[in-house]
Amino acid sequence: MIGAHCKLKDRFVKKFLTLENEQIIFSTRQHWLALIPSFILNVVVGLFVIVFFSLSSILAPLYFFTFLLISLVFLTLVLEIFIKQTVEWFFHFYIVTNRKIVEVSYKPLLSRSINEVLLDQVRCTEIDVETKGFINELLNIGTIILTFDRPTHRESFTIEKIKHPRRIAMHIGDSFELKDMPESERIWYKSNSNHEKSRYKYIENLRQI
Amino acid sequence: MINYLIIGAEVLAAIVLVIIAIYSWIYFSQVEKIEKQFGLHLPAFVKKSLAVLAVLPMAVSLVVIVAVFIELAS
Repeated sequence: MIGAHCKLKDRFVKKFLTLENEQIIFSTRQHWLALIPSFILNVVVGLFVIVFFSLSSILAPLYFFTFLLISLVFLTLVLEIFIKQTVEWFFHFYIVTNRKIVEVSYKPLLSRSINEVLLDQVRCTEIDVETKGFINELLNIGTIILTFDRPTHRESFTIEKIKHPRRIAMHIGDSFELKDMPESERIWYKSNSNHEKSRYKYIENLRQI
Repeated sequence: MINYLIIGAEVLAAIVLVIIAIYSWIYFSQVEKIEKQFGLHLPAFVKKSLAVLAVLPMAVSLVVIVAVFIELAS
């Protein structure tokens, strides 16, 4: 198990080990930064409501209680929406083992989905890492896209907005035995150096050299 | 006329608060159920906020409804 990438409790993750000789590679959920846009939006709406309440109380002090009540309704709604998004973020996680990949998404009162890919039944043809945006680049947050070749069609599995996407993709690649593939088919390679920082390089960078 | 409009708005706000409180209460119980099922525990502040959302709006709406009745009676 990649200790640094196991964000979920061991005892909990073990519940998902149902196959023979199954070992956890990593388990994680989206980075908490994924919650920030909705948090900012909720704060802006909340501030707008407070400003509305303050102004209307000054302009019409007779109806102070009514405005207070209306503001309270909106503030409660804003808080409710944010709590709901936090709960949905908390119950959305990924577990990767040497036998399968599982995505669990549970939205209380709305939906429950467990998306499972059995690695024995598919061939992983591509592992892509995407990091978009200044903040994501700065904090090393990205998306891993695994493409599988099924007997009938191609299918991709996306692990979204996780911390250290390159390192995790590297571990996944190792466990899928991509090491045996020709170097030109991979998007990165491992050098023999033991230095952790310089271990991984992009093929594109190498071609430039 | 304006007074009736104001009272109507207050009653409507109280009804919305009651709906929010009931929804939060059901949501809270569902979250607790899934926590037990998965063995995963939500951060304490999220659970406390949910609990507050299940209780506070109900209390406020009760106060509002009582106040409206007193206003209408007087």
